[in-house]
Amino acid sequence: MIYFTKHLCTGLLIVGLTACGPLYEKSFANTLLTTAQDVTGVGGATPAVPAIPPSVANAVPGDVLLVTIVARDAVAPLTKVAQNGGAITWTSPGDVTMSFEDGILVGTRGLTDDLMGVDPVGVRAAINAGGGTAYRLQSFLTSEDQIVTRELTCIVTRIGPEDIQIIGGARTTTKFEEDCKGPTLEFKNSYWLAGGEIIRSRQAVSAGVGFIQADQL
Amino acid sequence: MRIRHIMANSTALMSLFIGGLIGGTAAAQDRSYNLYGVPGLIDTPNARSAPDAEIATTIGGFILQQRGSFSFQLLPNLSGTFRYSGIDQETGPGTDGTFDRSFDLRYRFIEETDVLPDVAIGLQDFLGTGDLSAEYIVATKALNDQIDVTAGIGWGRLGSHNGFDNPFGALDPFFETRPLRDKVEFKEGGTVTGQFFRGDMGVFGGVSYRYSDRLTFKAEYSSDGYVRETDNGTLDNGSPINVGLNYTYRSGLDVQLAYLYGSEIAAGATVTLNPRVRLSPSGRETAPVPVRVRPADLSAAASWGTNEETLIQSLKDAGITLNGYDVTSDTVARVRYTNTTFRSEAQAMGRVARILSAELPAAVDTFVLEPQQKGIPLSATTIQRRNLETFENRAQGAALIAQTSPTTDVTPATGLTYVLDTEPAFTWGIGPYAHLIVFNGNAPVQIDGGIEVKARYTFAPNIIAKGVVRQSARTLPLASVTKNDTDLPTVRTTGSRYGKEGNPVIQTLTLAHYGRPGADLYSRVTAGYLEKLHGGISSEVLWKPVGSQLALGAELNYTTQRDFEQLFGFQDYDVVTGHLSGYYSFDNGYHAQVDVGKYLAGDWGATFGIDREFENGWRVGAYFTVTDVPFEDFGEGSFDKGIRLTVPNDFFIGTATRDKVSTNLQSLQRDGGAQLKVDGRLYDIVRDGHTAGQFGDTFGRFWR
Repeated sequence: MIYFTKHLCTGLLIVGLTACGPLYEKSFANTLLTTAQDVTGVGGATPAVPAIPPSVANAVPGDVLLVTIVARDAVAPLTKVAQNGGAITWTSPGDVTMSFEDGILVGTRGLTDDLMGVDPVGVRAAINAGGGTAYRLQSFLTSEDQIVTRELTCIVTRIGPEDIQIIGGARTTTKFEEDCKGPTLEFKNSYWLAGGEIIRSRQAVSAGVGFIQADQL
Repeated sequence: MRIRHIMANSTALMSLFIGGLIGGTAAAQDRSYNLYGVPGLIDTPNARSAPDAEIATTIGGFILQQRGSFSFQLLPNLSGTFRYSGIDQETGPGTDGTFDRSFDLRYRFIEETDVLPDVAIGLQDFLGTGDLSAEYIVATKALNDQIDVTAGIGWGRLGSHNGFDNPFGALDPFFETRPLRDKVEFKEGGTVTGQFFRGDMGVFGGVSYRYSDRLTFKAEYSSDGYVRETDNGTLDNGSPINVGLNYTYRSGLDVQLAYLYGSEIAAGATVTLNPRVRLSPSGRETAPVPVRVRPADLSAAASWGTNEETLIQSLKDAGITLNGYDVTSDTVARVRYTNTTFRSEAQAMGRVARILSAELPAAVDTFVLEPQQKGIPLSATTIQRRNLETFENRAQGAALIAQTSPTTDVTPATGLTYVLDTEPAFTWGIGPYAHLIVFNGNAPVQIDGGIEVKARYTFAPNIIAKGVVRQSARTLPLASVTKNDTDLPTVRTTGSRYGKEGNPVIQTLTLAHYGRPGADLYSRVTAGYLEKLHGGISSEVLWKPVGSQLALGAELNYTTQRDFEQLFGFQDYDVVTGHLSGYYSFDNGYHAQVDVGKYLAGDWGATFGIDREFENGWRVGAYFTVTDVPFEDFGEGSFDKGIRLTVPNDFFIGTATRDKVSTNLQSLQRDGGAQLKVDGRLYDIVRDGHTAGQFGDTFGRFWR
């Protein structure tokens, strides 16, 4: 493979398509070429068939989160990587992390428009109480590298029992909705609870990413 | 207010109001560009402003006049345009054409409301020979979401059809006549022509009708009579009515088509880009490692040890080189590192801090982080480890870290254990190069391209040798720069003779040393073949406190002009040049620089530059240089001036990189007011790591 890459490099260099050597690895032209390869599927190495990483295959129940980015129809199994107080950070095989505090999404990293941090004041308490009002601060990065923080007031409502299909079988759950409104942002999250635990949720990330659905496996 | 619906899902609606950024107005406005590359109708302007910070490049015109324009919305209500026009058959059918450079400014002094229209005042081609010069006051009002109407009065070109006497003439006869543009008198160009708002006035205006989101029809009455062109028989001017359309092919690319003056077909295309709108605001780089929180019972973590090799490798995996550390104190860890990956030093620091939280013993409760570039430490930020643990997922996490983590100049390196550089000292690369040469004499755009070999040898992090050898693929010499008829030494105008023989050339070959001679002081000495035309020695000292918006610098160079074969030889001309420089970063995103000193041709003078800087690394600016070379001796253009643009690569490609592309659009390269081009000047390097600088400006990326 190294031999092949080296000769591919020489060949492409002759026709002026690419560049070689460490000083060119991060060049704009090289990146454009790589992007073109990604888009066209030409010239690059064939991507491996997505495999279930050993960490996922060997995980015990409760240690894997199956996350779907709804708008992109992308699914990935996430495994636990760190715990900070009540917040658990999960990582995907593609090095995207998501942090949930008592089941509430409080941050993502590695998406194009990340949720940089959340102060979910009383969200989980309102769910536990069967409904109520909560407050949120949600932060995002702007195109100019500034943090913008949106204030939201959220009404948590118990919708009722709902049977859902999750890998491993059907589950009987209680569904809650959290309707959040602020001067510049609004969204509605949904949570499905079984045994007092959020086993499925659909939560807002950002304007650029949309919603994720997270299933506790 | 515009609402962006993110999800079309009945149970989940997430919307983001993009007020403020895009700007709210009473009704939808037509903001399309005209053939002059400014917001307007077809061949005349209107009063609209582009969205703040928009950069628009327009190629447009008709057979007789082709215009390439570059417009920038400097402020929400102020815009500037640089234009390069090709004017065919200048003095009549069959005669030679000419090229003309022009600058415009437009200020919108009334903003549209439900009642009032947008009203703007504009100067078109206000410097130079004035082939296109005009002034105007224009108003535009949206009647509804589809129809915009425009009416204006113009002088100069825009007062040349059906013009009437200038009413200001009643105040002062000065305004009655506009001095005839005299090519002999104004042959040098570059100067304000003193004819603003003088002479006959004309009335222009028109309507634009938005048929759909993509298609807009336009009709205008132009007060530009194209008098010279009509008189010399190159334009069959049958009507002042022009009709046309603007079609948005996709967001950011518009095409225009028009029928002008009853005889000409015109076409144009506009590409727009806004530094304030990034496709992926947080970037595409993978996630950092999370903070590792110490257990409540510290004795449980007492076994954590620091393994140098693991630390080096973890940082390396994150794109960061460990240079030195001091963990001799039980509670304080001091770490010096070089970020080779992230444009934002704040983002790099956030990653270093999290890696340290995973690698260092639990007893260490304070991190002192010292980013370094070119082997010199730029600042020291003291972060409490428990703050990392507490603020990781908080909405105000970045601000809370910034508030609780003071940044100062570094203390001396005593106590640091240096890490042997694991990167190879020698590194290289072979690749293509392409160099755009714009506005070179009578060729608007030329490309020089070929293959180059780069090599770098790092003796120490702050002592770097590097060189570039190029082989051009061009067989024809580049069009010669405008002929030189002045007495100045030819320090720039002979540039096209370099490498003309077709041999491989040494583009640069230098040895550079960077240092920290004292608190808040930085130094650089570079020796060798510094640039294509000159070689020698260049030295520089910069004073820049970490939190200071002001910086002062001094540069002293001794250089000799290189041989045209661009190898090792030199010519006879040698010169000592140097500048005192002042830099100031304003709170509103603008940045000013003044250089005063001696230039390459031996002339004395000053360079003034102003740039609008965006926190994400974009920079758009303009500069001019005046020296003791009189305008008439300088040659065409009268004095050196130009616009410059810096684009960070990560803005487009998404993944993290420190690479950026800088371009200078100089209207004319002459010998007067020429500064030495030397790679690696201190200011941009140093400011990257300062709170009053990109480190502070991009602190929002700390947790990214």
